[in-house]
Amino acid sequence: MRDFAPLLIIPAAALVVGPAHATEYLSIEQAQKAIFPEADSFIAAPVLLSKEQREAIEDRAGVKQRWEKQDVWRAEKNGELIGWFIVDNVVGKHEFITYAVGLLPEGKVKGVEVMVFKETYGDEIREASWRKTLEGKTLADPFKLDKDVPNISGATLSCRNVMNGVKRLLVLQQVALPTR
Amino acid sequence: MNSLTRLATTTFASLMLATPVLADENLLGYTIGAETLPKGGAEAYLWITHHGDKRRGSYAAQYLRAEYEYGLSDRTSVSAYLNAYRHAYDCGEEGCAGPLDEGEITGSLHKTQLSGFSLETKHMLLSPYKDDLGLALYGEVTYDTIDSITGEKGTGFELEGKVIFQKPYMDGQLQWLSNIEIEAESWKPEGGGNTEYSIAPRFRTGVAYRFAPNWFVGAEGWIDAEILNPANGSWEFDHWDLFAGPSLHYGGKDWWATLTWATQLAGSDESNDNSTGRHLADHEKYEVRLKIGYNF
Repeated sequence: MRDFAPLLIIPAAALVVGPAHATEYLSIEQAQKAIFPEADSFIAAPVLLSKEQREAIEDRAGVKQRWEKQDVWRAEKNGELIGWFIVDNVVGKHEFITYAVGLLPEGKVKGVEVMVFKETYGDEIREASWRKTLEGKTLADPFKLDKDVPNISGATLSCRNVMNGVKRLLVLQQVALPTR
Repeated sequence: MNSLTRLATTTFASLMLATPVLADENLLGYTIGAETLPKGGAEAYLWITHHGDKRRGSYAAQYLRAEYEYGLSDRTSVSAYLNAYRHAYDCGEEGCAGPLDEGEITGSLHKTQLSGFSLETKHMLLSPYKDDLGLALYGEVTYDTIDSITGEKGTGFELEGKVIFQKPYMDGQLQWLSNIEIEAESWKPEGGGNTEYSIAPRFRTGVAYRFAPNWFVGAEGWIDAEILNPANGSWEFDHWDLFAGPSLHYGGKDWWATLTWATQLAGSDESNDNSTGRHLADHEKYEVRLKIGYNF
């Protein structure tokens, strides 16, 4: 490349050094306590999905189950199952969004917590007002943006993928987790 | 570099250095997506497009654009651009393009010049993530005082319209973008001469795949044609050309950058005594574009 003006790259190069941002908001323990404050123990129960199970999840949820292994904990109180705590990742615009979902044994969302979010727009999905729109959802709900789940402008991909992720985990619960 | 150009470059560089950066992004260098900034969002861009090599001689030019974009609503954004050109060519009397006995782009020029400004608006009709297929309309008007190819002074106006399509796959990890464009231009050289007009339809398409967090690899191409009404002439077909090449994109929380290299794969010969299968009068053998964006 001849006669390229190096001077013109200076403003570009200056951008390469940018400030780091704190984007990890909750640890696993903090998210567990936030969703199931009444639980007295969380027992790791990771799930290894077979190919057939992953295909079944994709068929019923309408989105791909990317991982064979899903991090799952039994939330218990006095030795009884009170729900499932699942940590999941979905595609954000630049990086994966890490979030946790609490599911009641009957297949209903108890709560959602965003643990790691690094996108430019859409910090609002961390706010309780948006996350609460997913609480109480079952597979009978539509899971449609701007219908039963509000969209956040500039973060539509994040909203859609977290919403679809929650639906996928409800299906995963039916496919791979025991009822008690 | 004249004082106006230096002032513009310094101002933009200072702006980039002094402000914390955010991001909206162009996954490819030339083909744009259907999304718009959210209401109240603002973004600064810097574009540098290097154009290299013509048929003969030594020819290089850089097209420089500094852009500020603002989200009027969640679906409509407006932009203002400052445009400049840097030319570095030694084409001699026979010229870097055109017939051997009647060369085009003659002489030498080594100069950076501020050319003019552009105003743009973009409106998203369908969101690629809510409606599956994103659709947006785009309009841009430009006032230029420098000929982008020769660096000669004059007065030019340009109107550009685009219909933008964006289709996400794999939860948005893979994006397919397409733009249908039409451009109408006028140019009147300084110091006399009549105005010439041109109309150029263009189709761009490309894909970008996120292969690692923050990183996209892509490929894009475009085909365009130009119909020309030269000064003292009548409307006639002038040329067509086809470009394609790879692209690399980094998008972080605060800023993004896209580097695209495109080569002219084919085009109509710019003169009867040139049978290279490329159009090298209005375009060059290759282009390299760096775009950097950051949101406020």
